[in-house]
Amino acid sequence: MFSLPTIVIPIWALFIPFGLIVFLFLLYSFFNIYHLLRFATYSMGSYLTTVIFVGGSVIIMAVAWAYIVSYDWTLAWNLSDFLEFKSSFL
Amino acid sequence: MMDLQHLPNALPNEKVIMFMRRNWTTPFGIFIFMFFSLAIPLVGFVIFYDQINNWLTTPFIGHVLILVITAYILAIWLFTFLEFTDYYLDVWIVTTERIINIEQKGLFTRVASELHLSMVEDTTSEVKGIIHTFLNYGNVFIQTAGERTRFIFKDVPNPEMVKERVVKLTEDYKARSKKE
Repeated sequence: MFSLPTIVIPIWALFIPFGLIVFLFLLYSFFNIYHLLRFATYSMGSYLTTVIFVGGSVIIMAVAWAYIVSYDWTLAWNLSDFLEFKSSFL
Repeated sequence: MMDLQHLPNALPNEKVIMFMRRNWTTPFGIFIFMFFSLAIPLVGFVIFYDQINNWLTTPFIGHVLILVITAYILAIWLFTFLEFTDYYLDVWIVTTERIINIEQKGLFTRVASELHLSMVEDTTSEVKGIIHTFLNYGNVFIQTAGERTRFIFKDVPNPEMVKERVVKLTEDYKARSKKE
């Protein structure tokens, strides 16, 4: 009888792709703000846009963080449990 | 930052006559896109509240869902401001001596070109479509002497008035040059 090895994936591993997305967000945000402040004509518009963008980003991240920390990230996900669930479902 | 009172390579007595960006409909369209991109999932959440709330409290599915929702909101927010920056950095400046065209193409390409008024051969305005006619915005084409390439002011407000002013400035410049 073929049996699958027990594969356990810690849920915090989801932070790896998520961290990459956040890194790209920060990188592109930096370039965006740099362009606004470096190349725009001298006016309040570019400063205002920068403040709105940075403020909005901080609010989104703070709210997201409040939700994220409410979850238990020490849990582990057993792949065989998932397969058993799938086979029982079928 | 570029100061309109101190343009790069400014000529003596050069004055800024017109400073243009695309019509307000461009940033409005960007923010409408952001609004619907955020509102549609929110409406879905309200309609299927029980089901989604159940998923959010389920281990693993809830963990994945909260990260996906965060990534989605960050992506929409970033995309909106990248598009806005693209709009904001596209400018056309008409002075008493020249026309300056600055275009931001994406985040890493920037094209800046200028055209002396002595090179202007023909100016054409174009208002095409119901919305453009109703809101009075469109394109202005500046044809240069001897070259096929044209300067295009895209979706600027009052294109007819812009065309008239460019023609007037060009005539004034040429008359001034003859006197000198």
